[in-house]
Amino acid sequence: MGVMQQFNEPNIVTTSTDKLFNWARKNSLWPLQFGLACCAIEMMSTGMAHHDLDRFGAGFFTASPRQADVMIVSGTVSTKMAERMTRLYEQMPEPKWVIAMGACAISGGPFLDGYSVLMGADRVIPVDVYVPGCPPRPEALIFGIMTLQKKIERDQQVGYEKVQPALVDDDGNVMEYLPEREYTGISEGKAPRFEGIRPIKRTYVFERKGMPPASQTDVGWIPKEVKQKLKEEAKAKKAAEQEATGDGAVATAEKPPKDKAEKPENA
Amino acid sequence: MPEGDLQTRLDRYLTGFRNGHGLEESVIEGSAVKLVVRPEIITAVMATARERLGVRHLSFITVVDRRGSFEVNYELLDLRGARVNVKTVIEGEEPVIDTITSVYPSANWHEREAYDMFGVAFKGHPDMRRIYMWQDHFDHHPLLKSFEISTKRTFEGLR
Repeated sequence: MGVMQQFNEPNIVTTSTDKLFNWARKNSLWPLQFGLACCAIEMMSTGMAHHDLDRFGAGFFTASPRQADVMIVSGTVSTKMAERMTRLYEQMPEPKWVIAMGACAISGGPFLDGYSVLMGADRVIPVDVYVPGCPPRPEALIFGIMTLQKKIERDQQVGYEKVQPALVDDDGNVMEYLPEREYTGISEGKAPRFEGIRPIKRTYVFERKGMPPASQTDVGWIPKEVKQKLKEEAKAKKAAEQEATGDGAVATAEKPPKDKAEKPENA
Repeated sequence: MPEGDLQTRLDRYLTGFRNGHGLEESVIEGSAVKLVVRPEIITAVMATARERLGVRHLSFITVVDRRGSFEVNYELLDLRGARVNVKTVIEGEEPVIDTITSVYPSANWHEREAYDMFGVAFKGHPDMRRIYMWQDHFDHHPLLKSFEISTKRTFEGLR
């Protein structure tokens, strides 16, 4: 009210579209109603009167992804749920953000070794803010939302850094979310897909001891065993092809470049 | 609903099963009739329980992996306090047993679960797909003792 009293007379505010849009976006974040596990209880508690998420404009949990701005992944993501989660993320309109809430959504948490657990939501969708905790306190989630607001403030609507639709690149080609990640379309279900999205390639089964060294930060990380396996399979495939064609000379010619390729990966 | 008090019903069930089939073991323990039968006659035993003795409800199906053989347990309720526990033992690493969905339609999902978690194949099941794990790339049965939970991981092309 004190603010409104200053506007008794007609006024002009000069600002940039970036600041205007970002101000509007960050103060009306509508989360998707998407609770997966016990973190959802804390998320509900955050939305209730005591912690009152409405102070940040993020208190309205939409039941439909069509109206949602931010997806709070609150809980363990099983591999089967990952498909649905990606589908929901795809259904949200741009601009959209993702908060990974709790240890499970960040890395798999205490269920990391489970046979059905996805090791972090960021394996299938891009995550903006990570809120650690098991489960995080409502204060922590509020802090995560404030962090997201700060991140939105820095967004640019024009210029090179502008927000891109997830499936379309500069030239209008339909793409995957993160080309550098080799995203393989876990959401590929029975629904018809855009053309140009690569199909699921292969299944990896391998031994794992402890945490993978860089998997949390390096999204393109491939375990050594898998690399080795892929190499061997490629070799076997080539050998089979050569046998089929009957060329023995090609096999010796192709060996040196393979050895060169192995060295940098091991180092 | 079955008539008589608990002990009467238990006795009636026991004699009914004993007269109808060749059982390996049959005993009354507490409020339960416990049977051990050969896997070939499981459908017939279940038909007896439901159609002749009036045990209306299949509560659950569980499997125990005994490393080389599998125990399949069927728990039936008559909804008035008496239980019927039917146990069969299937030998071999790749267990196959007849389905009981023709007798108890609710066995459909129970048998799918047993197949999903233990790989027990139910012959004649109308819809033998996995129920919990994803169908496409996961080729394990995770509750088997041979499944190494802590080290084996399946990434569906996720990296």
